[in-house]
Amino acid sequence: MMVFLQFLLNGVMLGSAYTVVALGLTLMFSIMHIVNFAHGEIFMLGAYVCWVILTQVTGNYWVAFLLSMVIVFFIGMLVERLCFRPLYEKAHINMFIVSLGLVIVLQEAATLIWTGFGKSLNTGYKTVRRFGQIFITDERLIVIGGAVILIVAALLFFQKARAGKAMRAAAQHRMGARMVGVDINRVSSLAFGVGAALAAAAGSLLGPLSMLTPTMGGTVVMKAFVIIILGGMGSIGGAIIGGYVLGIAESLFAGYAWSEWQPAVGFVILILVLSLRPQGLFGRG
Amino acid sequence: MEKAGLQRGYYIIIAVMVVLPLVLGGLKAGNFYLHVLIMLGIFTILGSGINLLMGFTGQASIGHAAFFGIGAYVSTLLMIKLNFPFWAALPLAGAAGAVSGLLIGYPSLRLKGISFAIVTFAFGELVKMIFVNWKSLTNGQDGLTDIPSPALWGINFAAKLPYTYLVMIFTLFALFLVDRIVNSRVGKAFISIREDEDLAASTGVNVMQYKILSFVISTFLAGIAGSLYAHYMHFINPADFTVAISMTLIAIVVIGGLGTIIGPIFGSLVLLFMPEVLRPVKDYYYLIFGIILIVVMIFAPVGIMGGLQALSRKKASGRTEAVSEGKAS
Amino acid sequence: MSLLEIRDLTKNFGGLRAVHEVTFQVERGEILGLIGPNGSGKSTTLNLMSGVYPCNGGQIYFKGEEITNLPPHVVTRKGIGRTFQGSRVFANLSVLENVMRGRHCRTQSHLLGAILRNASAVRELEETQRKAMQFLERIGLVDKKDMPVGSLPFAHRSLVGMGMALATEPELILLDEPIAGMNPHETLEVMAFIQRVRDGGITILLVEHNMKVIMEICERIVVLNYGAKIAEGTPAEISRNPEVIKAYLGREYGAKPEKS
Repeated sequence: MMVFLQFLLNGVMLGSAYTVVALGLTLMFSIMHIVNFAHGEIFMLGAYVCWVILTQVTGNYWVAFLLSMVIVFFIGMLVERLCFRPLYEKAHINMFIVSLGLVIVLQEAATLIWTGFGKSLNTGYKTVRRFGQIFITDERLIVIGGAVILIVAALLFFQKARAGKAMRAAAQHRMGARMVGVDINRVSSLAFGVGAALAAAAGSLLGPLSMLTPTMGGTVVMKAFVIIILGGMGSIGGAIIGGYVLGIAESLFAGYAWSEWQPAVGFVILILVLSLRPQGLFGRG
Repeated sequence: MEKAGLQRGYYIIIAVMVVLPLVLGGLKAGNFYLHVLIMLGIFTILGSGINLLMGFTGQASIGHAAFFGIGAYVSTLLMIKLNFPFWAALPLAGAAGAVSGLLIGYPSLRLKGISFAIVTFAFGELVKMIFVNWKSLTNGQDGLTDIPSPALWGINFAAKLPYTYLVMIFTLFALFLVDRIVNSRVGKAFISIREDEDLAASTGVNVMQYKILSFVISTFLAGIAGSLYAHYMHFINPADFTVAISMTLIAIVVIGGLGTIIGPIFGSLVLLFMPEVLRPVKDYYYLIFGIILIVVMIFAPVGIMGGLQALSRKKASGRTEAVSEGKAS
Repeated sequence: MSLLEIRDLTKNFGGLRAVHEVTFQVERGEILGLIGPNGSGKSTTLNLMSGVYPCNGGQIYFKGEEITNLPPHVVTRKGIGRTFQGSRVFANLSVLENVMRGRHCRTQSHLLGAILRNASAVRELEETQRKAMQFLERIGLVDKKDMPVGSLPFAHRSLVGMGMALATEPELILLDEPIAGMNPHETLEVMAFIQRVRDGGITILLVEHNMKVIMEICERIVVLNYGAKIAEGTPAEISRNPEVIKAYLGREYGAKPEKS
């Protein structure tokens, strides 16, 4: 029982981080219809930027974390302007291929700048806490806490903030939104920037748990899309639930079963859900 | 409009395919040139299928190496373990590709474009995991060795020249297939889907059915390419079928020209020689590769072939009909 | 028997009631207007009729046959054509290629025919092009047949969209805001065209915001508000209907309905 709870807790932690990534992708993809396969590389970039700031500029993890988000936010806006905006009117596949190019460029650039050797992101919080027979480090608690704060912030943003509402309007009808004065280009830029910042945040949160490598974002984007598909396109609540479902499922599977097959978990869940309920768990009918 | 029977362009290509191997094979570095021709052919077959799927139907697949691998392993195992002749193993490899394409495509093509691409990516990873972990069947990381060459009429297919012709025949077949499809009602439906799915449906196109068709044809061609690859290399292992290969295939089609028939030939050529050309900056090879991909998509999404065609269209400005050798619309 | 009949048609998006128990008929040979303030469910109703969205309730009958929840390509084959909001067309293809696309539902050749390119497949392609040219003449864009539609002005794009829908040989066409974004001259052009289409024997369901157009060419009008039908009648009746006036004006101004 205790072992199960330990795995569950780990799954909640994973799920929290996955959800943040998935929310960022929901923003870019489900809402603004920007096809970006490089989301995992932005996650990786966020972790590295955080590491650079932490080791070169300030020893404070929180400052590095926030600065990383801000920097990646602006990088995201730049990338949107240069690489994606020229392609909005074309078939979706063009954006997809550009983002594949970005995957390669970002991974290679990271390898060239920081080498393939793992870097260690040190938060400075080393305490291990114990609840009964369950152990959890402060670092993992930070992941959960940080992620929850970001998730709540994201929800508020969509419901209340003018920019958030503008995005939802633009998602419904690009031209219609333009006709009532919503500047599509600015909204797209903003959406991409915020989405990127969220991915970066997740990278900074999960970074301390293992080594930073240029390929750490590899399967992240796949998992994020699995979550979005699972939860139903365009459903923010679905992305949140999907994130936790995947995190917990992965943790339990890795704990109890063959860990070498672990990446298959998301895929199998995906195929099952798609076959039984094509619109995802919470998709619009 | 198109007439029944082969166009003039085909006769030229056939002539080239007959003469070129003889000429190159006779040169000093003949074996090397023939090797290039063979790899060119195999990648063109793969690329044609992906071009049909991506360039004409607008669906992205980042896991096509999986179907390439399935074809290779199926063909190999049929010959090694069940003593099938090559002439049965090859079509069955193609069939295996087609069937797996159907199994994956049917539940996932209802998804929007990139979600589907993710499923193909995940499938590619899953298949590679199976190749690695199902040791009793695939020998895992060690791979399968001593893969036999085809045998027919006493011709020694272990030699490069006969095998080159073998590959040329199938390359021609792939190009022919895609060309015919693209300029037909089916091809126009594919293009409609690429441009606007809802609009396509409103003209009577059963979008799901056509997407699946396009996907299955592409995985069928991948399976065939896999078989040709296995019986040429005489050795396959999971590392031959990674996501890097899938990405390379996409690059081939993009650089050569998405949505043109012979684009994959040029793309394969570029990708075969690029490592040589970029040897001085070897460390930056992939970085440059990625940048090229981005730049091509933003500034010249029509790739090499498309650019050439646009130029020739400007010259022959009196022509108003779609010509089958080129970009279909 | 009405050409098209919808009964208690209902569609919810999450908690939002987009279309609520809407019932009306479209009679053969008429131009029926479907109007209502923004968000009243007009486009959603069209999407339900053409099979783009599945319904949450109610039925749709076409020529007496139930077509509720049939997929779009089947609905088209049965004889209902449509255009999409925003003069949506295949922007990267030529005018001729666009209209040719509409012939898909009236032709058959499939994979084998494509590969063999036998005589019947070739004949069918030639026939497709010929018929498309006929429709091009009807919309008056023959001289522009090879131009990419994306480079044409909105009015012509809208005509191409209608040409594509006409090429499917429908008995009923659903037009989704075909006049949006046009200047007065273009508006007259398209208005005249719509009437010519009806005079040629095709029934029309017209969703539009431009009141002048609606009042001038529609014989009957159905009014939606917040997803429900609030009025139905001739243009004269509708313009006097207090519910309708309140729906359009009352929301923003809270003013009293004008007497006319």
